[in-house]
Amino acid sequence: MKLVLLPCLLGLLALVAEAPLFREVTTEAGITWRHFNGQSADRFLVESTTGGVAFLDYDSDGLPDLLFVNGGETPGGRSQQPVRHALYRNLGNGRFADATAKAGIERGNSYGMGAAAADYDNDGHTDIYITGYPAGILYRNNGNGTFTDVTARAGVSNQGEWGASAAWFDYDNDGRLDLFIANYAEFSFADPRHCEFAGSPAYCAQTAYRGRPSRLYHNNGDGTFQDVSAASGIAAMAGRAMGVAAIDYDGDGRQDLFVARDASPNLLLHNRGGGAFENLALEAEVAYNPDGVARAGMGVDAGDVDGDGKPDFVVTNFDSEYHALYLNRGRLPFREATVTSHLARHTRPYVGWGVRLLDFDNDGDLDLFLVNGHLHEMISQSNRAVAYREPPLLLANDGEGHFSRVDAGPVFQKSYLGRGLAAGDFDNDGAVDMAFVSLNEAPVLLRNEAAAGRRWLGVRLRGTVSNRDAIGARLVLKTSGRTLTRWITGGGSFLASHDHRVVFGLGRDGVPGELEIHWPAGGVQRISGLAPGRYHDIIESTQRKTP
Amino acid sequence: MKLFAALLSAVLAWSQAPARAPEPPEAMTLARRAYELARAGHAEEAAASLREAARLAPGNALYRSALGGIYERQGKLEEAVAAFFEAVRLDGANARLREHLESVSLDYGAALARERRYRAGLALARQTVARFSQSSSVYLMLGLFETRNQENLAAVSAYRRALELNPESAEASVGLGMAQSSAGLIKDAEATFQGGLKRFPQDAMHRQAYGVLLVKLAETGAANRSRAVEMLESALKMDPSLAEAHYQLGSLALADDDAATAAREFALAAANGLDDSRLHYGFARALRRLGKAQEAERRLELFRERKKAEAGSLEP
Repeated sequence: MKLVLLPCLLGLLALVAEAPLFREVTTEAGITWRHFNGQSADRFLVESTTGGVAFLDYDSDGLPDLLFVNGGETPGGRSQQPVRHALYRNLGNGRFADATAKAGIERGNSYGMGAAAADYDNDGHTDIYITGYPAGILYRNNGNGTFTDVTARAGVSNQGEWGASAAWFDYDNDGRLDLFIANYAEFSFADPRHCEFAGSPAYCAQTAYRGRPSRLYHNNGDGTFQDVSAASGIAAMAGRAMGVAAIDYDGDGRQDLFVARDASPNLLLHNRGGGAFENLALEAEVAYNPDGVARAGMGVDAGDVDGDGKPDFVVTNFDSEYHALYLNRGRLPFREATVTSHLARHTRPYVGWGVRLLDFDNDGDLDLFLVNGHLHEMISQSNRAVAYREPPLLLANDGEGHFSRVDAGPVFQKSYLGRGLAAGDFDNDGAVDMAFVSLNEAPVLLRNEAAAGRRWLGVRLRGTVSNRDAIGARLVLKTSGRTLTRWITGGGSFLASHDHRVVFGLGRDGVPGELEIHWPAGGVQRISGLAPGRYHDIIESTQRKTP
Repeated sequence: MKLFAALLSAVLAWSQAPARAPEPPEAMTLARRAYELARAGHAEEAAASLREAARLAPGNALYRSALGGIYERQGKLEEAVAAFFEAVRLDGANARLREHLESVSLDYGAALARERRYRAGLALARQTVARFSQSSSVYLMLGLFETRNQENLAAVSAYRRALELNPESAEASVGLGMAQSSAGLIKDAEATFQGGLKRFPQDAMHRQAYGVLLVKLAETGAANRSRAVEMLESALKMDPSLAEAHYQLGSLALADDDAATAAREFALAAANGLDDSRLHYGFARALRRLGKAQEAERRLELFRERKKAEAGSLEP
């Protein structure tokens, strides 16, 4: 009997082993959009850095929708089809419907880069900022499935700049979301720069383009914004900015910024209050690698990697530079744990872009999802260990900040020219799903099937005194002998915007205890008895401070 | 003075040579005048005179080589290479002239490397290899510039050729190992270095370079870190003045939060001539951990200065 059962058992085990942890559902979800970057013999560098994506619930039905940001045509790179962004409405049955035309966001006048989605006017509807060159666009959500371009009235065009990632965050804790745009470099389609790599035409190195200052807009609360880049000190910090994550890294109650820059030193912009930021990246030892070299920072994300309750940072870089992990020890400098975390081992051959810290298997530890892809088509003629198209990476955290590579399914064995990467639980099952853009092809939507059998607790915060999306909130959950700390960050990843809800992984038998919410406006709420296995809407108490 | 003597003897030799192609007498007059001008320290005028002489007597190799000599003395190595090349073209049988062209080309390559003009260096190296296809030194130069231009696989071939032409060249062996490493041919690189350790057991540079590779491999778990340290320490035992080995040991110590050892090693690296942005950055970090804020700040200032200089010396 045992002999008869053995083959069946082995077959079953094989099936289990082959079940992907993340399953690609792009086609079955009805997503047909394709990215277009206008690549031509001119090799405009902007082509190599585009491709944004956002999870956002634009119709407030509780189902995260998807936005893809397209690049555009270039003087020598024309498209047979109109180059359009795409907004896909989540139908709730695993399928999405193209709602772009009705929404009115198909095409802007700019070459598109990324997106930042949030409710900047606190009206209950998620708005969209699309970055690009030579300007960005602010789309105000009308609440009826349509958007209005309010860029001019709002005064947030970022005119003349090559905007990359952007982040909504409330730097002055006035309850209104302000806007930071990571600007890259001086650029013009009238000025093609011709370079060679390994004897073939190629994109010029980033250092051929002079870095630009990023921009900070203060939300005036009346639909307009004020450019406070100079007053905040940010205008004086020119450099090739790519990624941004907003988080209060030092727990002083003010939102700070980590700006990943490409062959320019990264910025750690400590919010001093009064609208002023100081760059502490050198003191924090996050500006350069240990040899004092400014790496090619692309994406950045923040989260508690080692379970000490303090936010750490992960930054994606160029091949051979390693994607970097900076551990927050509660004082400066940070400790660079790129080697000891095994990130160096897992990321050495890759040029990284989108990055997200997420607990993909709901075991309570923040894992890492990264997308990669090179710039140089001829790279393997120079370095046999590096390829042009590269696989995404899923790295599992052992709970102490050491990562191991996980074979999460067929997508992780394929290779892409990955750029923007966003996280969102589109099927509301408590397992965070992922979407990413690959240059000049269909995007990839991945359903997370790794968290089966794990318990979870989901939280959607609604600010009343704080900004409505509660960006900047810190959530501390006690569960079965552990304390999990999560933040609702502004920005994060590369050219991307995420589902603002927070999912706590509770492991196989974790029981949620008290949840402590530190609202950005300063109030603290404690809630107990939340049932696992579902999302809870929690509205900010109007009492400002709880002792 | 050596140059003047060479110039003088060259011109005189030419004037006394029994058989030569007819040339306008003004050419020789100009050449003699160039000699006088050069002797009086008027190099620019001397060069102008020789250029005119060469124009009047386009088949005269000595005018070109004399012109090359003046350029060389002026530090105009690009022009010197061009002038000596013309001289060699006109007098292909002159072995000394060929040797000198090779030597000046190598000097010019070294200057371009110092100035980090790697694209210009690669063009020069390719030209020079075409002229001196049996020179190990010239292939070393080609390998260097190919590496700097990220043409790593080509650099592997260049260093391999340099080693074939001169199997006793430890420099070629080190270059080959480093190029293989840059080209992602890690196993080949390790084999080259291990072979090099046997072939050049007393070569400290070999051990230093292998140690640097092992440090990089250890970062990704592909080598044992203690082996990297051993290799660097064995290099220093042979030659305590190896600045790079001290720097690497300092960096490893700093990664372990051993700031005192790091500062000591960085100080030794500096004392042995290392003066780049890497060193000052690492030194500053170590000093800051030791509570020496002022010294750390001074090092950071040096870091910023070197950084600016390094960026400024890059080609556009």
